[in-house]
Amino acid sequence: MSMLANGEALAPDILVFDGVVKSYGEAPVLQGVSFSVKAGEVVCVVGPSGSGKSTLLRCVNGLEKFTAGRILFEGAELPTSERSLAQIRQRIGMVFQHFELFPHMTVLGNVVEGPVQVLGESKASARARGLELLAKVGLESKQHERPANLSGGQQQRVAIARALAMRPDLMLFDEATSALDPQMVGEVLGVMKQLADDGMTMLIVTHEMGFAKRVADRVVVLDQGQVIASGPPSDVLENSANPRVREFLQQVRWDGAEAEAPRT
Amino acid sequence: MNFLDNLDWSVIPSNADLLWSGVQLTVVLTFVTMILSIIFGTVLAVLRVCGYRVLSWPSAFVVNFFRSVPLLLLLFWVFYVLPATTDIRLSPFLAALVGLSACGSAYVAEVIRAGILSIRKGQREAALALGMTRSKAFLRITMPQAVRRVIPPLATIWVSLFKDTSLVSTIGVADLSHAALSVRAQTFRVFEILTALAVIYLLLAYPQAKLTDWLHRRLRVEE
Amino acid sequence: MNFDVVLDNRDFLLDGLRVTVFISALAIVISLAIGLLVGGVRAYGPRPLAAVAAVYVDVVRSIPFLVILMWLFFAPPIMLGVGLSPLWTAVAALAVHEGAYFAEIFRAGLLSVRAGQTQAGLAMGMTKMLVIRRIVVPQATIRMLPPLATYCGAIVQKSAVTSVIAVEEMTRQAQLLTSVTYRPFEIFTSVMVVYAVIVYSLIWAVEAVYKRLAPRGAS
Repeated sequence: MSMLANGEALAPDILVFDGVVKSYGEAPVLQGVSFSVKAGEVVCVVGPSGSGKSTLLRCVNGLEKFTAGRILFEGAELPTSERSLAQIRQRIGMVFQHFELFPHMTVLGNVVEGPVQVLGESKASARARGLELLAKVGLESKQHERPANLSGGQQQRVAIARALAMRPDLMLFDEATSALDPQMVGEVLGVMKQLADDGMTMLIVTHEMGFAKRVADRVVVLDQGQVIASGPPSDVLENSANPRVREFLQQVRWDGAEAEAPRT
Repeated sequence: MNFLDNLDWSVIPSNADLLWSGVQLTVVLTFVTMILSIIFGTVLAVLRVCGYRVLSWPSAFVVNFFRSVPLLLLLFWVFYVLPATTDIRLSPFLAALVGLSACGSAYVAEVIRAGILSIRKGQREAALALGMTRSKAFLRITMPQAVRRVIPPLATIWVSLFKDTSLVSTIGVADLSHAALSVRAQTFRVFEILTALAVIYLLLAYPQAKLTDWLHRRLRVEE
Repeated sequence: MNFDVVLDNRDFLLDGLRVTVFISALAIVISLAIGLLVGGVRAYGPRPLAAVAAVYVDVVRSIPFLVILMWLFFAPPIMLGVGLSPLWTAVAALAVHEGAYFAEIFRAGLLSVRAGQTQAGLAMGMTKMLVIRRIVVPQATIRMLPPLATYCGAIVQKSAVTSVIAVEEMTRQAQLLTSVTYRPFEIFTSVMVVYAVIVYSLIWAVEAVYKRLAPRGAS
């Protein structure tokens, strides 16, 4: 059940955080985070650096373990065994800050790796679908290149295609544009916006306030491991009465890049 | 019958003096070799990166040659071949020192060269931009940073030199191995003496190897 | 100075070269297997097993090759009543000794692949084994090429030491030939150059391959 029940939404909760606590030794990172994400929803998590945003995101697919509380994915609590976790991860796509393309494979090789090795799809059908996805992110022509020969923006678009190739129910974006040169941020945000328009469920950790404002259905502000505000972007990012939210918003850059159509 | 019953470990304590003098010689030989290798290795490395091809090419050739040749052959060459061909006759100890240092200098040169090259060009340019001369920029800026990177691999070279000195026993230098092998020849206690030899080297080299590992961790440079 | 003595006896020296190449090549293959196994266990294995692997590496790295060689040659007959021939002792000693160094290279190579790469594999639902096999090992292999080449060269160099247990490899053949012909300068110099050429070209060739592959191992 959603912790933030808002009456009109009838779509089921695909992801629920219920009092998630995480600490490294004595230092608390997450102090009881609760909110939920509905199918088809785009939720942006923002907040000052060190607020625990990335940690929270990485708890969703078990790359980080949390200390207390629950995370429910599609109604079931996250398993603890690595084997069952691997099955959950097949349905959750993740895009990393530093792309993490596999340097020893071609661009297309990266995209078909998951379907072939994890899902056991045939190479032919995985390649056909991989090419479709590369076309979608505007990089069909780069299929035979090595990641090292691509710009950062291109690498991140391939990483998105790689995640999509698994046909995920949920996509996680961990500061997907933070490592990019400013002129490349737009092309990646463009692909993300297109995904949102297609109805993908997305949980996005980002510093791009402009993007959050235009694309997110809901914005969650995290500060010192706690949710200090949550709601539609217009409420949270423009009219918040919370002094901590206002302080954070004064410190961030608003003139961020615009989402652009992908270039090749 | 159990072979352990036939062993007589008393040969070790009764030859302790001989083994101990072997240990001392091994340590001295390693130490002197290391000093010579650092001196000649540094010269070779500086010649290699100085930017003048007349100097860098011969240096590269010397380094690559001595890195590629078996140390044992080098020792034979200095000890047996040199006096047979020329008038140069070296004592076993000096021959060992020459052979080991030739090999050691080549390895040290490679380590120092890599250390110098690993310092970003921007550092040198920043020094030149301050008005330093080329040599001053090298001595004040590049060199101190390179030293930090060079110490761990130098420690690695020390440990391998320490073990490689065992080969000088083949040209009659009375190092630890030579001492042990002569005890073996006198007593025919082959198993006891070879096992003791291995254990003595282990006791001596293991702390050195661990110290080296620690240096590698401690002085690791994050790029 | 007259190098005819080398040319006239080239078959004798080439026999030695063949043995040198044989024991080196075999020792390299076995060292690679030991290195992969021990390095893999040290990087990923359960703790007790990793501790055993660490003891092997530390012990072997602390004992000179000459001592390992002599021990392996003389001790087994005393302990067990049977031993290996000089040739197989040479291969075993080289493999046991260099295997420890190879293990360290493998371990360092495996651990040098960024954690993010592993996480990217896990995030798409791969099991840990699959991540190691498909993502970590291929990248680590490329990164390990230069140090592996150096230590393969070291095996060729160390094989000369096996002459002390009378393995008829190139150094031993050179000694035998010298004792008959009394031409140490020509013989030892030639043999030294042959070693240098083999070792240097091995390292140089791998370096050339590495330069082309390096971007594929850099994440």
